[in-house]
Amino acid sequence: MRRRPMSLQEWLSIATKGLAAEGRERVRREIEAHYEAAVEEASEQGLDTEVAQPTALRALGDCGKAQRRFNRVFLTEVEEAACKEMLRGNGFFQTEVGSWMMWSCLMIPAYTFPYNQMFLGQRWILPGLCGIALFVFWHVFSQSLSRFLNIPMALFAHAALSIPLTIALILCLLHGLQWASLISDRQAMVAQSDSVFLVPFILSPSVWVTFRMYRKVRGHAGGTATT
Amino acid sequence: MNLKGPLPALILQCLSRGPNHGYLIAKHIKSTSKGVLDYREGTLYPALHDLENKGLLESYEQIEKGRTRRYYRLTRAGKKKCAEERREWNRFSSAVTLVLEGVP
Repeated sequence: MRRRPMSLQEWLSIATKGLAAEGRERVRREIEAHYEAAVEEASEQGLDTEVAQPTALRALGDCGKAQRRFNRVFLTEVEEAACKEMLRGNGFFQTEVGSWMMWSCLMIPAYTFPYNQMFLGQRWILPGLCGIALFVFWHVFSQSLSRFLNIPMALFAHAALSIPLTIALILCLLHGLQWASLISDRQAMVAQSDSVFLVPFILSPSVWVTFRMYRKVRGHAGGTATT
Repeated sequence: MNLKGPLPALILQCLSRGPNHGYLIAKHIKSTSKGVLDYREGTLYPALHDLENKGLLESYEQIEKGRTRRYYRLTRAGKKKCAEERREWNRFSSAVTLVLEGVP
């Protein structure tokens, strides 16, 4: 049994599968205009429409390969949802700052605080309070920031914040830090901080993905001028 | 023949003559190469969008014969890249020619 030839709409629905609505619409408009121009030109050259249409469709190429290529250059539905989530209400804080900041807010005072200072008879109270204060400050700061950010800025901020925050997190993980051991053996912990050079290798995939999304979004936003 | 490698350079070169839309870019590449380079639309448009994402092209929509067309033009960075790509290709192709001709 012969298979029914694919229509332009079927080709488009496969080629644009997974793309965010705006990108899907843009690809659809461009390919449709291209297809119509090809059919029109073939008809002007005396080719029958019934022959011109399948020829123009074949010229579009493999729809599966096209889908993979479009997914590489356009924002996908999943990426768009992630960007929106990032900007929604508390989203920027939760996705970009919260998890990283929680660690670094606890780590910064732990690394820098003078431990010979006693407070209420305990050494750990002052750095602990300092950590909590920093955490609250970042929470308020990031909440305020998310109100003024658009998607490209949020992605850029994510990549920029990821670097120092991941360093703090990785340091924490590498040393297996706990408050008690840190306080008792702070010098030894600082001496081991050479392992920070491992961070770029661990961090690079995350930053690469973020910048790739940023580039897609920026290109997408830039291509909307109409004359 | 469908060679994807030099496509970005070909697009940039094609647009160095002025703004154009996808259909005419594909047609220009095909006719100038005497039919040897015939890029499928599923290859051409992602390449155009990728160049746009990289800031080498910018696009705008224009109504033409009642049909909305997306035109592409080179940005300043795109013009610079185009000249760079041409230089690089000339260097590469003359090197390959030398090897193929067996010049010692």
